[in-house]
Amino acid sequence: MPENIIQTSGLNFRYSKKRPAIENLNLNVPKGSIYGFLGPNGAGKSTTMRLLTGIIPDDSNAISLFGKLINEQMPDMFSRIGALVESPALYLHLSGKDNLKYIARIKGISESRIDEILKIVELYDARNRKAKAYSLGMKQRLAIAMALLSEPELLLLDEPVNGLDPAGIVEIRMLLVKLNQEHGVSIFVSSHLLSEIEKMCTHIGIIAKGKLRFEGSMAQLSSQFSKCRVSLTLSDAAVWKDKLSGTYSEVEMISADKLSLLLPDKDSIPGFMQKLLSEGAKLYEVKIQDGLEEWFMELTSGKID
Amino acid sequence: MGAFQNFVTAFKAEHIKKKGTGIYVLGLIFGAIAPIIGFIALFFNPPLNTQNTFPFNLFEKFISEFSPAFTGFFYPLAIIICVSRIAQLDHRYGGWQLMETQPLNKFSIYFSKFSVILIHNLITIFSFLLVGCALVAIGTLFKELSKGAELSVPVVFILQLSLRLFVVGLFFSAVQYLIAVLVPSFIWSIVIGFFGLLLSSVLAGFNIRMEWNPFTIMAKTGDFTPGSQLGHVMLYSEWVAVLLGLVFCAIGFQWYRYKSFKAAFFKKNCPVFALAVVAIASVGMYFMLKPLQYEAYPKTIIDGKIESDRQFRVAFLMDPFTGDTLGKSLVNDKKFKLSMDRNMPLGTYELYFQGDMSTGIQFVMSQNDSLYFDVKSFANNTESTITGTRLAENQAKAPGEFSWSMAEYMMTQSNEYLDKPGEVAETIASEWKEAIDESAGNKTRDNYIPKDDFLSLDKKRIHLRYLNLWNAYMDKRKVVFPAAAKDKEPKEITEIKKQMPLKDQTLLADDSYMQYLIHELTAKDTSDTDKNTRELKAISALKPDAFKDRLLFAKMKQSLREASGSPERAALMADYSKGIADVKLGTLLTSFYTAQERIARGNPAPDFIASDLDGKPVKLSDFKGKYVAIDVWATWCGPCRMQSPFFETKAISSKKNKNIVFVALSVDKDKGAWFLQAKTKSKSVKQLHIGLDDLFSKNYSVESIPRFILIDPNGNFVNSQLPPPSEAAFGLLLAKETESAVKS
Repeated sequence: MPENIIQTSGLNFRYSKKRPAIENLNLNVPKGSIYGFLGPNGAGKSTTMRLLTGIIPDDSNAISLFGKLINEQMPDMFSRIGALVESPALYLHLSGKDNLKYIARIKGISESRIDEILKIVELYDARNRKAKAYSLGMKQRLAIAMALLSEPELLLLDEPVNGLDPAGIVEIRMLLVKLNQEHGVSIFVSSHLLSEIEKMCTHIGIIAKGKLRFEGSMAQLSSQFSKCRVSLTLSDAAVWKDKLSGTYSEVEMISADKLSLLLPDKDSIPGFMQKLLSEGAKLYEVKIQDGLEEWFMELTSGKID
Repeated sequence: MGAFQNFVTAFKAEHIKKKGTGIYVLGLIFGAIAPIIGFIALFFNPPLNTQNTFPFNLFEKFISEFSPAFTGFFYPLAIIICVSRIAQLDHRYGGWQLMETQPLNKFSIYFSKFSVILIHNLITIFSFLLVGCALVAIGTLFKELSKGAELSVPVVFILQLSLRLFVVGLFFSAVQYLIAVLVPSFIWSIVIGFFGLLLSSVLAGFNIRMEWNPFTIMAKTGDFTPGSQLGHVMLYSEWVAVLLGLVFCAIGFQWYRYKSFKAAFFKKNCPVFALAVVAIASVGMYFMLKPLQYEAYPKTIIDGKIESDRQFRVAFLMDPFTGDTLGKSLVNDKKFKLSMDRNMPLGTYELYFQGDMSTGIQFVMSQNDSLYFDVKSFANNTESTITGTRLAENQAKAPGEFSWSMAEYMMTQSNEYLDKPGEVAETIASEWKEAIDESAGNKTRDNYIPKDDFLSLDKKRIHLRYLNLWNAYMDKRKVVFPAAAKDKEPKEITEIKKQMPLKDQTLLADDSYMQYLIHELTAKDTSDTDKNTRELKAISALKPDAFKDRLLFAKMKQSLREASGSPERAALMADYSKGIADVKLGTLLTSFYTAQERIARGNPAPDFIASDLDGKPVKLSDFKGKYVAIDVWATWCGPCRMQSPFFETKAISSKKNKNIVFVALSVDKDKGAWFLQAKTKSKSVKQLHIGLDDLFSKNYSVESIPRFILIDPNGNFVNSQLPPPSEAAFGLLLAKETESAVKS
């Protein structure tokens, strides 16, 4: 059994008496993983983040990091952790460099590391400008730089790509994957958009209304979808609808040149396409429609329990 | 990482964070404002007291002058702003959470920031003190120094004051910091701070004392820059600040650590913490704020030293009522010591040196007291600090010295309340209660209150004041509404009367008690004779004892003074003087009678020789043919200086009347001091100096000054004891006597 770098067992938390914010949460984040913590807004992601970092005290001793209760290792554990909670926590009256200096002083890191990290997040040229004058993306990158400065074993990132442009998202994503692969950093990253993190995560946990709905590796998640809905763009859709209805289920006409139907699994897509083409279909596009995304939407909107 | 190391790390990091916020610079500026304003004022004003000839340290004096503005406004303001800024650095954009996800203890987080505030406070304090000293030093280059100014830098004074300012600032900072950390919005800590500042000054105006209030404590330190009178390092209020400062640090930290009030003080082990804090705070406060009182001393001792530009060889202790010398001591090496064996009732006594009236110091004591006098007497000004078992008594408001009173206004200034006895009684009762409360709350800066005997005496004096007011009001009311004699006494007044004994030996020397007793004695007498006779008869009818003697003596003195002429005085003496059994008082009364006779209306005013501003001799007889109004005064006499402008005004308004001369006759021993003041006065008053002339004092029965005398063109007394010129009666009498020639 692989060692879990984050483990919660039966974690509960409530802000008010009526409604629990977190209910019986059991997180198992394996060491070396990139763990995507997914959930819509208000699902309890930030609350979980605050509990993991001890900002909200863990009264029931339900949280362990590095195999030890967090209450036993506060605040020393933070020398092994880079955390970005409710981003971006910055001192806007200071320059980017001074913000990093502040963290370096607290964590006892040599100042030479500052320039290094500034280059990594591509803020080196802007290092002497006040953080006030940074764009949202730059602020976000600075905050991440502050979390990364100490070369932590564990990164806790709350919505790290929130507000970034697509290029920025890709950059951060690449950076995180690199850190994970080259330095073995475990990463726990939360998001409300599956598409943002889907591509980099090795493991995923989905939370809705304070309860964990799914936890497992990406492979496990995908295998949950035995069936796969695809949409086809082709000529004479009406004709093909009749032809296909016999062999495939749930064939539906979307428009004059669009159909959707259900395949047994993803792996049957190439065979299905070959078959269509050999039968003379003028196929323009095949698109997986009912992927993780749709399931996620359904899950979190409460359609599935 | 050790806890201390952790704190140091947090503290250093905090200094990176505060870069560019100008927090320390702001402290520097706020510290400098008060001395700078004072310095500018110095340039536009003449030195405040050009006459001040006591030796004093110039730096101490000016820092003491600036410090109320500093501790009352600029220092708290600097703290409010600094604390708010420090907390806001982290309230914006989640700094608190950032810190809490670093390897820092919560203790380090909370107190590293607090330490920055304390450093800011130190910078503010030193800026205040050093800028103050620097400006004074610069000022000496431009301004002429007054005599007695000393120019050594008072290092001990500065260090001690810094410490005291620091601890009072610590308390206020801890309170403000708690608020600023807990309430994320920056506006609240500022609003609460300002509100507290304003409220405290408003409440201070209403005489509401809150000894635990950080503003009151700060103001006290600013008001008493020289610190303890008993040589303590800090005042008791400053120790309170230390205790409460630590308590608020503990509460603030606990609260911050557990995020919510409930978690911080009611969960797990926290109730123990909460109880411990409450217990320490309340027990500490109880012992620190509990007023101290001196115990009786086995002997009766007066001890002290005198610094002066003159040489004194003997110190005298006098009973100001009888004028008797009670004891004396040689002054050796500027020190004196009197050990008294006789019975000394609680009362006012006077200490003076070698027959020089200007050195007279009136003070309160009784037997079994040990007092220490630190006297400074320079150029006819005498100042003294009295410590020892009557420390608080001698700093309390002098008996009879009361503030403005609505009841008194209703009584004396207006007639519209004559038909509203209920309202007057209510006002009297509420003012009486206030005065009683205030009397009990009078503390010295070292937390001493008067001994119980003095407190009870003071209370009785307050009862007397308000009872006499009521009686005077009722007398006036009865004149207008004769039916009022049958009024039922309001219950408020009865309540006060219950507390006022009718036979109190300790009050025998008190005029207001005499007044009250005489009124009560004659209250039921409705016979048609005049008031004076009624009163004398009532006293004479008392059974003989020391009490009756004292009462009759006081009444006789008053009657003799007010009598219209010799025959009346003779009749008074014949009818009532036998009633005084005490030989000594009898003799005193006789000599008072003779003195009154001598200076009675129509008797010739003995001639005297004085000198004018040019040093030429002037005789009283030189003014023959004109009325002469004389103001007997001295430069060292406070009440004289208060009256002399009224006397001058009267003289100026009477300029056209060639039939009257106004003379200010100084009895100053020091002719130089007289000359300096006299030459600045109005030319309408003839300035003369007679000095310590025993013959003059005896001939004119000068028992006290100021004294106002009117003499007619033939050189005879018209009135040897005019009311003070501040009263309208003075002008009326003058006008009446000089046949309306003088405009009133």
